[in-house]
Amino acid sequence: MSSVPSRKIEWDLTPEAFEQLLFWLNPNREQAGRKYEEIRRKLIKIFTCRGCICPEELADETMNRVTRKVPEIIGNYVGDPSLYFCGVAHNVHLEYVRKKPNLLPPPAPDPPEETERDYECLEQCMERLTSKSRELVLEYYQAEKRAKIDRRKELASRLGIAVNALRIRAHRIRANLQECVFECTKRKQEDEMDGGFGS
Amino acid sequence: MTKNVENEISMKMYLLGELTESERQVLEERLMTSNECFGELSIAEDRLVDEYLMGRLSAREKDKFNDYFLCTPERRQKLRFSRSLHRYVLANAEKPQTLWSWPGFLPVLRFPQRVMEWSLAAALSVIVGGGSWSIITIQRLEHVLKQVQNQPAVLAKQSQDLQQQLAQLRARNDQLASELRLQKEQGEALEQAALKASPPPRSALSMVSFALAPGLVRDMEGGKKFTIPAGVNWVQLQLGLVGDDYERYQAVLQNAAGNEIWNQSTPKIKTPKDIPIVVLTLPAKLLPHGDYILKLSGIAAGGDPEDVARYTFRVKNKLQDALRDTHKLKLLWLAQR
Repeated sequence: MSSVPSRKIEWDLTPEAFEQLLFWLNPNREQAGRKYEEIRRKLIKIFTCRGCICPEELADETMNRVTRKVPEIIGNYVGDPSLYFCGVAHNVHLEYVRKKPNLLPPPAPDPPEETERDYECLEQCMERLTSKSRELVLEYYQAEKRAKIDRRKELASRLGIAVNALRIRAHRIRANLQECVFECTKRKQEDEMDGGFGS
Repeated sequence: MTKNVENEISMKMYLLGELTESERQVLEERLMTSNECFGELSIAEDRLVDEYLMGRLSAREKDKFNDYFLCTPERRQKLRFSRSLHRYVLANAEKPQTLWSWPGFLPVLRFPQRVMEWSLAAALSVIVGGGSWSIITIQRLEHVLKQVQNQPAVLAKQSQDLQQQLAQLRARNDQLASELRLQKEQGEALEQAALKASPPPRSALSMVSFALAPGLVRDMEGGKKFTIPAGVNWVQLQLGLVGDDYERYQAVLQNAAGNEIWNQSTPKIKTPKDIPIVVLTLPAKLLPHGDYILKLSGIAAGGDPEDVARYTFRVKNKLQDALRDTHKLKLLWLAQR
């Protein structure tokens, strides 16, 4: 991938180096694995927020560079390892920007058939939710022209939770819904392609 | 302003690529070390997309959203999904219920609910304000009457007191003048230093809010007066509206000389009590001591702005106001002599 900064000296990630990285993150291997995934997910988000078109590749490049550095720093580094990743990510981003990567063209209007496919999938995914979650989504996101804040307070008190907890719950359901819709549209697209080839 | 609102603004700016490099680094370090902060960012992303779909972003924010935020296919996917979600919620949301409505046989008396609320609020304000003013006036007149009854004896003492007061005021005047001079010098020095220095850290994002009601009087004395504390970077103006006729508004801020110093196009929002207001956020440095007129136009469906209200206010400087009060007292004393 041309947009990802490449090192002058190629270096392959070895199992030993990876083990050492995990140990640095947490002596408990299972927790270290979770921490690794968490850091990678956060790096992807940061590169996305910095306007990079290939955030996953830049995050992996950052992980690799830190893995390579671990033997040097493991004895002396003090503090949260996440901050070290943050510093390395900054350098990776600078190199990325220097390469003047191509930007995505502005989004074209969605074709009506795709919009309808999205909507059908959303309806299916909403059906799969529990009635409580479905009602929560409807109540939480409606009321554009009504007292949205009052409504959310009322909903939170009815559920016996704080408004902030309600916000997080609504966000989680929305994220799951988005994932479900994404999978559904992908499946439908594949089915259409298979149907097209078959005919 | 609460920490939450500061965070929301900061994250929105981050998502639109509007933070400075140093501000961005500080936020990213928080994102890396705090799962709570990371979760807030995801929620802020959803909120930003919702604001975009509801047409609540300013023209500049909308441009940034299209050019910067939608830089990855995942973000575009999120927008498509949110569009479907909005459509679904709109199609399946329950119809609004009103607790009370005008009887059907009185169609002539049906006013828009918002107009009724504003009218009742205004009437109540007039009653409370008028009542308080009457009580204060009666007490003052009683006091004056007593003084007139004891005039001969009182006048001599009053003259003596006023002379003493004037002497004290002169001393205070001199002190304040020197303080003002010192403050000016320090301000200029700080301004120079700030110009040379790098942009301020994001932690300095502090804001004060003021509510403004549409002005019925045109002179500045009738407008709202407020003081912006030192160290505040942003001022939020919450503008009360008389009607609820437009979705978007255009605000133009002028100084006392009538020169335009700032403008913003923004959507109307609702308070927790469902009262429509327009909220403007502008840099505090645009509002030094002085008088201002804020003209608000509603943007009609055709896109043409229509004047709806004007708000007058005065930004006060504590030292200058104290000096002006001293001057007024001095004139009063001279008039009595």
